Amino acid sequence: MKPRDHSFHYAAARARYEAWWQGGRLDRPPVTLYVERPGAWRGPRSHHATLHERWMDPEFQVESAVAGLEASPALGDSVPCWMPNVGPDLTSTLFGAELVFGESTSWCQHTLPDTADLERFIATPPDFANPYWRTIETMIALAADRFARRFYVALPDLHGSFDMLAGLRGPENLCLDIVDAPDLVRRASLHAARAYVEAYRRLYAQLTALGQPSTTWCSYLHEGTAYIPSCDFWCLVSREIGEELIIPSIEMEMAPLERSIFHLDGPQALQHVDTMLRLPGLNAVQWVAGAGHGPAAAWLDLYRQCRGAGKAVQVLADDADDALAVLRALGPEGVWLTVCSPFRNAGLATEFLDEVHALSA
Amino acid sequence: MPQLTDLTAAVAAGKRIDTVRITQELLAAGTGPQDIVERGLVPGMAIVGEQFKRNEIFVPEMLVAARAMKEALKLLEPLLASAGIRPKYTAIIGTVQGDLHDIGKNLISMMWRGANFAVIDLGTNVSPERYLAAAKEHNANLVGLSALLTTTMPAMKDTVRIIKAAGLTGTKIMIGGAPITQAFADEIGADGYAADAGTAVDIAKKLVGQAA
Repeated sequence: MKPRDHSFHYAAARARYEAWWQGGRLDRPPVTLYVERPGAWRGPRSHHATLHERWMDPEFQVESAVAGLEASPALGDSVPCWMPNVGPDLTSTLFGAELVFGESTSWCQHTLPDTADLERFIATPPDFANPYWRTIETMIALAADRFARRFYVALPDLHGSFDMLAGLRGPENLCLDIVDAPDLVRRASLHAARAYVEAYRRLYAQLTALGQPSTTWCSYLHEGTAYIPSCDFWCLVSREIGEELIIPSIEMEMAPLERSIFHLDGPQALQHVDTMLRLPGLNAVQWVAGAGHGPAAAWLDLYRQCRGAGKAVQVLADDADDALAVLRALGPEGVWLTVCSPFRNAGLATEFLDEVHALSA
Repeated sequence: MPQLTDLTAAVAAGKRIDTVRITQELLAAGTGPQDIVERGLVPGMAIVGEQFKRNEIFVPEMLVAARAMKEALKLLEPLLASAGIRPKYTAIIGTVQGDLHDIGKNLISMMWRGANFAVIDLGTNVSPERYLAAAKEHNANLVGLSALLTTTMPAMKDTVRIIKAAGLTGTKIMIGGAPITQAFADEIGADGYAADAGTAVDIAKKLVGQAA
């Protein structure tokens, strides 16, 4: 029998994701995985004086992306893509925040020191001419050119309304604002949500004009608007505040989306699961248990709760065994398997994909 | 005249103005500042810690309670200092090197202050050497390490190793943060682990030898 071809094929992957978005499956669930890169790094070496210079250098970032993608076999439904990135606080830079860059992540400096500054924020339109935003636009255009349709350009990571406000005010100050001035916070959050939607629309328009499908850091596919709404800040607040104050901004952020997968991050977010599952139009849930909180197979009840509410799930499995355990327990409908640790070689990844096929029959 | 229990209730409810007024009235009526702290404010923050552990309140409610206590302490600390009274235990706290997240560290800091620890907050991105120097300088009973990022957990391990290697026998090390577990604390040789800000007070008291 001819061995099954597990190379990435756009049309097949897109069809698998489309079935998954709808809570079903085709021949098997979408599977994303990666394989350890053999040999030494062949991309450019950084000679930047600062991390800021390195992060903000489109040429270096895109050349690094090309080298990485060329060295990585695209298997299963892992979209061979690269996401232009200065960190998710990109949306806070629309209101004057400056980013601080670490080796692998970035933060933003809080620029609204007082509660009353939220009034100034509400009166301020987003600045899409700021250097961080312009750098992202440059990276997208450059990547689309250099990738020459061999790879895809992903939509950047964007913090939503309350995470944007937390970036601008600081999370503690925002917590106090919620107690001291809830109506002001509500108005500010809706202003932030409108800016987020405008940011999304601009990026989507740029990517669509370059012939790119919708994908982002979590590697789904859709030919139309799709994204991964989130709110890390709501881990800090009660279910009541989540429903009354935060959900309206999330609904506004989801309004332009044909497809959406909610990023639910960490055990402290679990109190908001029922609220999240009631979001109109939400297709799917990405549950991130976080380090030390068990394999994916420890969260079967949560996956079942999501599927019971009509939502598909992205399963972030520790390894192949964890992924297969979840697949055996849940079945293939509405499941997207992501294996978070690398396969040692393409052969092992292929064996895993064969097993997923067999279990999905 | 208000009672110390009124002060406890005002702090627990996060009523800043009431907390300050009651503190002033208690002082005017001759209640000692140490009594006001230990029998009025500390029990209020203990209530908050218990409610937080039971998920009855969340971070905003905890922060307004801590803010109320802080306002009262502004009145009381000069009086305590002039009487030569200081907290029995000293704690150093910070977010480990490479990590700029501070809300978890700040919550623990507030709760420890609310439990009448003297707290020296080193801020974020704190190197192992700075932790050690501060622990020596302040003769700390406790060092608290916070991390939000999995990528900075190795910095926590380095910090524990350096402090332990310095042989500060009277200094206990406690760790916490979203990716941290008891198993990780055991692995790196930390003396204690707290899953949340409420538990952090109980563990801290146990570690420094005070009945929880």
